[in-house]
Amino acid sequence: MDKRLEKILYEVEKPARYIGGEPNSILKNKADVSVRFAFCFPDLYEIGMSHLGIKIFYGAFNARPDYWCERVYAPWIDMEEKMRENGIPLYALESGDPLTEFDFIGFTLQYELSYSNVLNMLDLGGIPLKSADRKELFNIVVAGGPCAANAEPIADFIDLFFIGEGEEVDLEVMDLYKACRAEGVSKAEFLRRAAQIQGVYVPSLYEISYNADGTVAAVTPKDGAPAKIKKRIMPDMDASYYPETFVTPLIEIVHDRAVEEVFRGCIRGCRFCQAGFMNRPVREKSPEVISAQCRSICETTGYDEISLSSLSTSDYSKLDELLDLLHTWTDAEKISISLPSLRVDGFSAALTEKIKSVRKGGLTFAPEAGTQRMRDVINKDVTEPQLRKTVDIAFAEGWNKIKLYFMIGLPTETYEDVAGIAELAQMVADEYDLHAPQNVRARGNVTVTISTASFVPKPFTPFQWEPQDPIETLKDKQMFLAKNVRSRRVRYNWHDADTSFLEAVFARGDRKLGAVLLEAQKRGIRFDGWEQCFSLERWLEIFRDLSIDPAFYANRRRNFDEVLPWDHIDYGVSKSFLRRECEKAYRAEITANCREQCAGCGIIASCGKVKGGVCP
Amino acid sequence: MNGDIRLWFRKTGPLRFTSHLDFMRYFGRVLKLSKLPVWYTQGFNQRMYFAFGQPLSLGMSGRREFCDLTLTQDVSRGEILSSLRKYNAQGFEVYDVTVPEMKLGEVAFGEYEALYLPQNASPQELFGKIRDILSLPEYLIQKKTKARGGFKTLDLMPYLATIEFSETPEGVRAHMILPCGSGRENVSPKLIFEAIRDFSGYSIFQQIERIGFYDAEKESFR
Repeated sequence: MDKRLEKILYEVEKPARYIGGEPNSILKNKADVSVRFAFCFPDLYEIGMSHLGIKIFYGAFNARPDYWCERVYAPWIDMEEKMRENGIPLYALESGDPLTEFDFIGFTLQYELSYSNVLNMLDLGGIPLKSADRKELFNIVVAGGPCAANAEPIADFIDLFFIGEGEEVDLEVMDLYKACRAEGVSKAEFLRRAAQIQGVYVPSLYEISYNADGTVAAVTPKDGAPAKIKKRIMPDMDASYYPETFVTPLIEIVHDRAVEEVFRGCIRGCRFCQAGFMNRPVREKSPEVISAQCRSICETTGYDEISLSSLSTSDYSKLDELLDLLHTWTDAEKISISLPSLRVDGFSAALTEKIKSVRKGGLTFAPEAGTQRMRDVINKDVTEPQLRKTVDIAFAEGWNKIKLYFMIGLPTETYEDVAGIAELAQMVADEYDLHAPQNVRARGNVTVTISTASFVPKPFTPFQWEPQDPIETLKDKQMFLAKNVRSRRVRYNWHDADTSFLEAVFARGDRKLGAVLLEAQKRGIRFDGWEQCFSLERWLEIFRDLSIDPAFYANRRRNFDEVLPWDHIDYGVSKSFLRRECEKAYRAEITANCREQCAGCGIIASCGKVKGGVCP
Repeated sequence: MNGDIRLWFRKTGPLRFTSHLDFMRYFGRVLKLSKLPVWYTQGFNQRMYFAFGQPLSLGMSGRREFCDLTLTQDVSRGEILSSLRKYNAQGFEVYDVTVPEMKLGEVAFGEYEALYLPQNASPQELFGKIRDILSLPEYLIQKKTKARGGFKTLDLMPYLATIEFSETPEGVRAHMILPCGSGRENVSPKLIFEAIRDFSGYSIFQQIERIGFYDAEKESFR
């Protein structure tokens, strides 16, 4: 270990974040490796190490003997300060080498508030921020993940984006790079060739022109780049790469357990949910494959808990069969099984016997909206009788703490809908008095916790044209809801509307926002996802100084005919379908889930037949 | 071997930057993966039972650390050691297993080797300052007590006086045996380091390793 690094480790909080050397981390001999990939997660170690995507890519890349993928996380502010003071550049945990020694520097973009960390990590690694300032066929900066859906605000800094699922396309790009390097071609030529691969978006090959009102006039491809960049998917999840083991952290991380992805996509089509549209179509793994993958991870990590992960695990069509199969070996190994979230209609006494869901302390459900009308608008098919039935089961099973998640600021929302949130929570509390068994009530009173987040309209959803409520309205609705909570048994927590506003700006931003991000890095802004670091005021100053109006992005209603900054990206779900869904939302009409009836979103026409799906 | 056993291990390198709590979690996984027939507690949440002698503070290496546990079936010494080697973090190694001869609670002293590297002074200068401290009649410090926010005054001199200091080309080496263990006065080597640092006024970088344990009679802990 570098002596300078060793010294500063004594001076920072949780130094184990920065040391590497974890079991199952992969060391290779540099001399035997032809392509080196630094996989960067733009947040703390504890967050990044919990992320399933990195684990998949880490395994898949390193399975190739001559490729070496290493991990890089954002150092916390105390560590960053010491690193800058001592001239230590951002390094990868496996080799300890700085970012400047890597062929690829790849970021996963999980949410918009991590953009400032992406730039700061590049800077801390000594990499020129702008793509145009990196001339060589080396230090290629790539990115993928959900925010690649509208990558425009960060497009100036990234050489190429991966659109959709990266298991295959990432490796294809690495192969191309290797070939290009052998051939001695330029970076520009490499990018031109990469743009021909399905699922690769090279932003420098697209010219953006604007209308006088600031909206996008046209996106024009050049040098033979495709007009539409089609996403990649893995059609057969059983055959798709899944890691045999996880790097097991030496410090406690957020999700410190074996995680098994049981399917991709979601049958539900909640209209606010970007993941629900972008990850279509539904593709389930078979129970046998899931069980074998879980077993491999547990046997190589020592984890004693498995989390069955997906966008909505209780919708897995063979959940009972799967749980029975897992229990054939997990009981003897003293391994428990958990589901990350439960649907209101997916909760039963039989299920709770087979899983260790949240401990008896609390149980969380997400009705998302307080009135039936509002839930119909967002297509969240949860009804009050269902919730009533579910909490009755929960009370009978001994729970007396219920947490309910909602959004405020949804399209068409009225104050009546907001008040409905308090009423729904009160209903749950009353239900406890009416139906909870005597022995449960003897243990204490019920606590219902309402938690609200502010709605952020996202690209590739039916609400992509909608304005976000201004911060003042959101805050007013929060206060209104707080006033409507009348029982001491109901508690109300809300997420800060300021961060949701900034998220909304970048979620549907265009390339003009690149200047804002660059300036933010210069002014030392990072870790916007952390309360200790986030300051909307500092961002607003930058917007003012650069004469860019953030409300144009967050609070403006788009016309259905407007060219959206992400229109050249194709996730397989048609724009006409999204528009139909939006219009149905205005009429509070629901759309059946994909298992009941195909809604004609266009995904199957776009991506072809898949295994383990529901599409006709 | 069967019943109570004592594992001896090293915790060095980058692993020394993991806290005791994190290290225990890691150790639990090592045991789980070893598939050794470790005795589990019998309560509602069954857990593998194992107990460490003394926690190592963050940043300190350990060359002869131990952990006690109980096996429910007979396993050979060789098998125990090889099963614990399957899943190692850099800097962790179980190098021996014995049948405990002394009880865990009999630990009374820890033995440490520290290297003080002055950053803004020469080793000679630092060594001189240490000699100056040792010539004092007493060296009083405020030591935190277990009670919240509590402090008490402690004279470090009796402990300082037993330490062997030697000058090296890089800094000053210190070999010390200090009281530790439950129910006794604990004197952490950190207090010694802080005394030297504060008295000298130098900025000092410390490398420290615990190399063994003793019982109250200064018999090597077995």
